[in-house]
Amino acid sequence: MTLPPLAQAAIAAFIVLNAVILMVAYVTLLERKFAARMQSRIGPYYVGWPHGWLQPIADALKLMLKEDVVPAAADRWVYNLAPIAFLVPCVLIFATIPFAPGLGVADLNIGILFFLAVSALEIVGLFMGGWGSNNKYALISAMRAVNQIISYDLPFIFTALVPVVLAGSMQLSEIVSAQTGLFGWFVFRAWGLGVLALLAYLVATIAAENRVPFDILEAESELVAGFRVEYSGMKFALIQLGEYAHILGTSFLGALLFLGGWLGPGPAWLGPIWFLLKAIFVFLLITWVRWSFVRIRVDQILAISWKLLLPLSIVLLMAAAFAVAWSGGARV
Amino acid sequence: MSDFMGGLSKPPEPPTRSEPSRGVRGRTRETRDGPRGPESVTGFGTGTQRGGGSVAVLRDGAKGFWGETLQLARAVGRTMGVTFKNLVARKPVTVMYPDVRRQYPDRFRGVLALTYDKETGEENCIGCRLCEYICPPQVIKVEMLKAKERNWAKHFTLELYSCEFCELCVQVCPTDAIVMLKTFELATSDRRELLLDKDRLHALGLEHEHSWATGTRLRDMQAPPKAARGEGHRDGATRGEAAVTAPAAAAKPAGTAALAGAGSAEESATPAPAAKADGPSTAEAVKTAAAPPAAPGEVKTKETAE
Repeated sequence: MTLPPLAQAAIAAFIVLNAVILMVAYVTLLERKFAARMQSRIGPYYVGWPHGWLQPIADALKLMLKEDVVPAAADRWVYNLAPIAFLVPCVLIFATIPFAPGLGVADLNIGILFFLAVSALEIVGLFMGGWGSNNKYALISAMRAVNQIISYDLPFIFTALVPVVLAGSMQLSEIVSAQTGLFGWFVFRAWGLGVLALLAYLVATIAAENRVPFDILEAESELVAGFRVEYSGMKFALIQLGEYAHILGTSFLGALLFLGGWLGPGPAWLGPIWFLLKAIFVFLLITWVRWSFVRIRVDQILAISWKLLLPLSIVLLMAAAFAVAWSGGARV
Repeated sequence: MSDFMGGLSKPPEPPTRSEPSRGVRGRTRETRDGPRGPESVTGFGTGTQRGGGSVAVLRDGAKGFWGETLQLARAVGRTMGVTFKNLVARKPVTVMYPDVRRQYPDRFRGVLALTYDKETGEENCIGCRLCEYICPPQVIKVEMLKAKERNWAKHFTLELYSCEFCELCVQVCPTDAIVMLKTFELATSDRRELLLDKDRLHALGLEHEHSWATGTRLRDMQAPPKAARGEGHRDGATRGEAAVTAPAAAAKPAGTAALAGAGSAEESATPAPAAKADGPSTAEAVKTAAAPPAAPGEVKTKETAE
């Protein structure tokens, strides 16, 4: 390679960004089909044969053609910046994810720290949207979102640190290479600690992304569409894109931390496909939860986080550390 | 400790009752300090409940942290099991509407239409304004045109955009002039297109399939069998026929036969699906037909009692 490193990184980022946006579009179709089958429906069908595979493209076109309405009383700067401020961290988390050994934008040695820090930034854009809209529903919803996301980021981080402790590294590719071997994935390891950690990770993920059953920031009867109630057209599309990118990003991280990333039978070039399948599996788990439950109350959401999930994740982290120390550096 | 997680797993029920109260479906519902019933039922999920060792979603007896956690885990498992079963085991029930249409029931209440006489090609409406009087949202306006042999409707307008599809106009029509159609496709970009006059009501009737119900049929279905009185407008003779056929029909075992007895007053051949389509009215028809052979005096006392 004769290209300067900056150009290489730019090309890699361009490819990953477009791949992510395409994947996000098709993940929405997947979710709609999945949800439809759970409710004995068919889902999108007419746009594109077979089974409406052009539906995401049609949706994007429709949103692009829509009128962009800015409320008269909105804080224009904040209102217009919010979708971008929301989208950028959600897409940026993909920068550090390696899709195969050496295949990725940047395999940082503090990759997971970068991921957790950047994914928490999403809340800034969300609150900007709620505040800038100058709408009481949007503001209430954004405030709910802030207190919920702050509550759930703690257990999210603690559970994501369990594999870090087990692998002894913060570099994501190192974490994957620590999971080689039969039943080497962290779900199966550490005497059941891994399964518990994955479950806690899933719950924290769902809550941190404001998905059902923790989706109190969007309520048709009281808050309408929540913080994005005043957004239309492409700005709305950016917010949706960011939300799904975030979900997909945490799905990839979950597959990487607990399900062994690109490890799997077959030749090495199958690695990214295994990784993608695992990430989609995690995504479908989240979707399955979404379409199974009704939402719970605000106080219950906070109680679950502070009274159950946070202590549980701290105990899990300490148990993992103890297990590693007990075995004296050997595989747990 | 039972208030852990803000009472997430508590059933929404007043706690202090000493005896088991009756649940929604008449099963015993256990209360906080009452004895445990045969199975604790919360009123949720009765559709998926298996017999015997079924797991109630919310059991009041679970106490403490582990009890509640176990209970929550079970509830989560059951809920996700239901959706998983839907995902893998059940076929979609969607009917691809514009391409495929399902069979609409024979008592379908759709768009209204006026009918022609089949032989003479004349309209059946005599402008009596009964439908106008009975119409609850008052969307029908009729004007009578008096003539020698019979009367006609000079104007007949129906504001379909305000119609509530109650079928009362069909029920009262003495000449079966107004009927409902098995169509509901009313979407239009101009509200005025739903202001139907006589010609358009006629045209609609030719265009779409008619529903089963007509004034005569509906009245026959509800009235007890009557002896011929000869004063009916044009189906007096057929009513008498109904009274005669009723006992004979009652002798036959099937309910369809009974319906044929009562329902074929107007036309000799009742469309067969009519027997399947309307549950309650079939039962009524059976009752009517199965009444003891019409002794005229008895019928009269019934009528006066009503």
